[in-house]
Amino acid sequence: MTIIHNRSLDDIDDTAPVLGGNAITRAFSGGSLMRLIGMLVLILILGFLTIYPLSMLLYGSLHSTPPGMAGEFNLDGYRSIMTTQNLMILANTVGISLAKTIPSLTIAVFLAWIVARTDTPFRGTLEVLITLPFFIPPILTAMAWGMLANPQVGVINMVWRWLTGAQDPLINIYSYGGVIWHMCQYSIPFLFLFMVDAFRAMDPSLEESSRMCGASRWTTFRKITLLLMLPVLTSSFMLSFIKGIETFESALFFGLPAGIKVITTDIYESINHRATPDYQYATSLSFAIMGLMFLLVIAQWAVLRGKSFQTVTGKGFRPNVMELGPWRWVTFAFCVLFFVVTVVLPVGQLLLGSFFRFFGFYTYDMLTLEHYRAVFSNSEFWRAVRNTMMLGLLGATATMALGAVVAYISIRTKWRGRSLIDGMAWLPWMMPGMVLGVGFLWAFAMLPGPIPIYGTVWALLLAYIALGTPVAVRVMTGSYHQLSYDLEECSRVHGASWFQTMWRILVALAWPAFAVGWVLTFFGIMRELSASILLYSVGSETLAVVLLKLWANGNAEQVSVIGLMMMLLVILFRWVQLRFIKARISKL
Amino acid sequence: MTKTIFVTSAMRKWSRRLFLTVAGGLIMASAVGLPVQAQDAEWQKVIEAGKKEGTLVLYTALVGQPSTKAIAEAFTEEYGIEVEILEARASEIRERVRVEQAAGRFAADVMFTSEGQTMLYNTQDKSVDPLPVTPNSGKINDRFKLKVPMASVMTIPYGIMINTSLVKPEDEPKSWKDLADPKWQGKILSDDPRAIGAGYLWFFSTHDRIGEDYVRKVAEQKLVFTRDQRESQRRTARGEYSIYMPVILTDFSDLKGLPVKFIIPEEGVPYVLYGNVLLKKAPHPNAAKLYLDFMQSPTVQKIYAGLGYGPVLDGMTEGLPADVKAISEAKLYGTTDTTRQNEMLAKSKEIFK
Amino acid sequence: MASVTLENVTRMYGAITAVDHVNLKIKSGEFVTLLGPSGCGKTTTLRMVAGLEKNTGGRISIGENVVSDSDKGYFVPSERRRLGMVFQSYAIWPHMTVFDNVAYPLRIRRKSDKEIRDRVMNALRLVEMEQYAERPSPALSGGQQQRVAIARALVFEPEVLLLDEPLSNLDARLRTQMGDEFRALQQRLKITALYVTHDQSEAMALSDRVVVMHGGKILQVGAPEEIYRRPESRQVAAFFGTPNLLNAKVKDCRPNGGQYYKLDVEGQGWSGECHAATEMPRGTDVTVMVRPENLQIREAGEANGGLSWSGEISQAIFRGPHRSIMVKTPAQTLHVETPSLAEIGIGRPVTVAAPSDAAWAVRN
Repeated sequence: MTIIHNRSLDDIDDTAPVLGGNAITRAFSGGSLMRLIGMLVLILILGFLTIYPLSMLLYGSLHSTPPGMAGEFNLDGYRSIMTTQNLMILANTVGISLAKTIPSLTIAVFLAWIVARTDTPFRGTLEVLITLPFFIPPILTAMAWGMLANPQVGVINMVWRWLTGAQDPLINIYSYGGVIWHMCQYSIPFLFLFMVDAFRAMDPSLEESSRMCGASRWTTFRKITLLLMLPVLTSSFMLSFIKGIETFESALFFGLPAGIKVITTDIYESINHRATPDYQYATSLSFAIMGLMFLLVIAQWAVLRGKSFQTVTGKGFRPNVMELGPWRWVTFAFCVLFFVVTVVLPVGQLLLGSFFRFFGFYTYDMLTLEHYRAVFSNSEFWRAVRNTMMLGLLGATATMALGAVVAYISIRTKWRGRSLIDGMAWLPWMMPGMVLGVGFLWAFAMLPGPIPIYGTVWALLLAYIALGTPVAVRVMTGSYHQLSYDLEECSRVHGASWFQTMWRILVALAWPAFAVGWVLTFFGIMRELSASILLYSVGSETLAVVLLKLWANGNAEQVSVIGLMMMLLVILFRWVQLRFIKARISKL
Repeated sequence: MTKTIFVTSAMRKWSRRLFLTVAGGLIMASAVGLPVQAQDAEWQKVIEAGKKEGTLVLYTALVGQPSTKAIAEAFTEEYGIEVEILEARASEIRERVRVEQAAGRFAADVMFTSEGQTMLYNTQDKSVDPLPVTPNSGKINDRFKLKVPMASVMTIPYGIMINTSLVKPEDEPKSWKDLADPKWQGKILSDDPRAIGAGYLWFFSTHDRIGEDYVRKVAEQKLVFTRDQRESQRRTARGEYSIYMPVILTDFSDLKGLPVKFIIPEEGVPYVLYGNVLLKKAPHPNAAKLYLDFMQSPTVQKIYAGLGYGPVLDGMTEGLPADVKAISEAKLYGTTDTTRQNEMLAKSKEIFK
Repeated sequence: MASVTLENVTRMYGAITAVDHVNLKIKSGEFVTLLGPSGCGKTTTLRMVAGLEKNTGGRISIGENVVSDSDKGYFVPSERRRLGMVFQSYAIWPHMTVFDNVAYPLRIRRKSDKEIRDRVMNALRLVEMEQYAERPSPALSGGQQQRVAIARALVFEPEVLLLDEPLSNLDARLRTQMGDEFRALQQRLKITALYVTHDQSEAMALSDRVVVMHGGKILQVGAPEEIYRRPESRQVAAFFGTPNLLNAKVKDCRPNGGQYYKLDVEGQGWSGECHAATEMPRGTDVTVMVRPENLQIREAGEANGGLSWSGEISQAIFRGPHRSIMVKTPAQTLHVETPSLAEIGIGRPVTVAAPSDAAWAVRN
């Protein structure tokens, strides 16, 4: 575009000021038509990915039967969820989610600060290590923690009894505490990943000037650091809180024996444990929850409106880290402790167990490499790896690209409709996965016959993009909030088009966030089961489907082998990512 | 069309036992009534057509079973028809089939699922075609000739599992009734009877056969509930609980070497009957018929019997090792009835708070 | 290099008019400064030329080409205006080296590697930064960053160079030095430059012409000396330094032979001769501006033509190069700057005098 225009500039008759081009280029030159088209395309894409499946679900909630069956429209679904029991369950769910989100956020902020803003030794290695728990399939850590902390023969309790001679167990994982702990194990690394680059990208002079004004370290941290991080922090809180409401595995695994009920187990039962799956109830309940969640999003908009959080300016800065002196060994010890408790303990079990015939029976005669052999010689596994890698690479890249554009428009432009797309991108996060999966199934299967999406890998890809978009948008939003406008305008003035600026300046500057978002999305895709199981077709099995099959058949050890390999992949990815970032922004 | 049994609505109202006798009689009658020669010729045509179709799409609600693949390979060997398998859990695969058919995407030929699910497919989703009569369909045990259009294949038997290092041989429970013994209080890990699954199956059959009092007594044992069959077996093996019930008895071979014992209760084993249904507008109808027939053939029946499942064809357990044979031949105790599902689940929730 | 023409350029933010019918023609190779207090619309004007903001009224042309015409809905986006710009914050991209920053405009235009190398190094040499080419850009001092920003703005020989308070982030000494270097460079390369600042001395030192803005309007356009010595309004007069502004009435008006008029004015307890740009009838209320450095302190009663006031010294402040002296007169307190060597006694009666060509009258 630039080249063409330059020529037209030169070619223009130079007698008097003239308007170049015809009506169309004039309109384009104003950018308004282009913008309009771009916005429409974006709204269409997001609409197809989010509004369309959700509207199928909305239909389901308002109709006595799911799509494709004769029935009538009524409000029975919404009427049936209005029970005191559900209110109790809701209160319980919100309580659990808050109980896990607040400590998770606190610990994650602390860890992010340690890694990004202090001179704690080995923080580069720690950064990779403390994020590992996030990437292990939840079912595996649940099993590992079940082995470690069950009240009867859990390793931790056995050690405790042996040490103290006590009769009572020290901890019982089958409890509220267990449910929350298991959730924390996923939300802390997630939040850490989500926030650490925002901490890293902050100009230290903003903190230093506060110190100069007489504020203590702690006051500075509270009043400057945390406030500047407000977009990231509020986004993190909401992502984590909403996810907490929707978490299923932890509650099922550890909550059920203790009689703990949450919304998702209720939804699960209404689909799976009635003679006819009660989709009307399940979707109505989901929409009610979604409505509540959206209030949170609006609250966040209100909190952030009209404030600037630009911490990355065009003036450049030296990334001073805070020198902690001897205290750096304390922060180091904290990270190590976190790593030991959340990674070494459960992963150690998985690693150890994978070399024995059965988990938990560690005797010489049980030693075997059979599980590794079984996994590596399983052709279905390799096919699933190929499928998942392809879907992961494509899906994560497409998701992040979409997220980057949506975040850009909602944060850095004043275009009409920007709140709309921002809101649309939130939607998939607020719908429990198992319900949204059904929404995708309905949406893609009910498309007119000639549109070849259902039954192909495209169905999976589109579902993954929709599922990943909320995180992608949040990650990029947090990052964009920090960049000063000058950096972008300067590029435009010096001849770069909108897209070039986007790519070379914004994406490049937001690259650390982009990469983190990419990894999060990639592994989200690797783990996704609810939608995959409803959308995969013969030959397009994903890894999650294979894991489910192995798990259902009692091959927990093989599942561990795969889980460990996924972890190796994470380490590889993170290593490459951090190195790559170093190569490009080592100066930061 | 004479080869097909039509289930009329009047028939549905009849009691199951009565129906089975009548239906069995009908099949006999139709088989006897036709000249054997003609039947063979007809079937030969099906084989030809099936081979021409070349592919069979199988949906299965029994996730992760290695036998599914082994049987599919045997089928391919026999007829040269490729089998494409799609696995998902019962409610998921059911919704897939329902939506696919509602959208006019008839992708699947055969669904391998349970008797209870078949009934739902048949009466609610109306996604099933009537069963064809095939050479083997008449040969199976009458007990497994159903009023619902499912070609029975095998039963999954459920029993009791104990940890042998926690339970002395003389204390071992022998029957379902023994579980009500107060000495097991707090020591039983149980599949959740309030959700569809093994625990509910146990609740349903013992409630009907032994009585509600018994179930209430067991409920007072402070059962600990779980919903993951395999993981619970492991937990019991590791010593968290003395007893796990009800356990899938056929899993015994997977846990060889662990301190556990699988017990076939004296009363018998609650079971789930699995079989194949022919889905509506199957794209490969003839291959589907061949597959339905093949699953009831001695080849497949012996595979299942060898794994401990109860075959639907008699005489399949000859020559099996004693432990497998005992499980495969275990007395069938009872199964669930889908028509009473909502009622019984509510009752279970009331009893097991 | 190209000229820049603004015709009736207006920018509204809702009901607020930030820039109000600005007309300005910047000649090719000319250095023009937009000067005014913050909020006067100078930055908005610059950004409209840059295409970072859209004018809601009027027309902007660069060279022979219209780049924005609000009536016709025509707007050329920034990147196609062939401009160079230096931002207040420098907007050095922190993820690139110095070289990459400067090479950016060329890379965007898909120049060959060799050309990029040559031109970037040339540009860096121009600002004496060639030895820093491979430095990561955040690791530069403020002055160095500013040079990089200038090199980047010049590297592809833009039609027009825009500068948005580029010196304001530097310390006083560096500011003067960079300003001088910058002016020299501009004159050597003959670049058309539009410069925004709120600093009057910077504006005067650098510019060919200064545009004084206030409230979105242009108050006066002219060479620095002209604006300094012969402002068109009291507002412009007040903007530069701390001039003495005295109310007076015109007693007589006559041409002085040149382009100006000579006035006889009378104020409260004083009278004398001064100059004005236009002919003013007798009795017109005027403001007479006399700059402190043009006033002289004499012994009481001593006067010779021009203007004079008698009063007594009320305050004296030593400022190094000069001394600020407050003289209390019947009219008002006058601010006088004298060489710091002179001895001053507080309370001493004096006569303050100014030559008639140092006093300038504007209509009230």
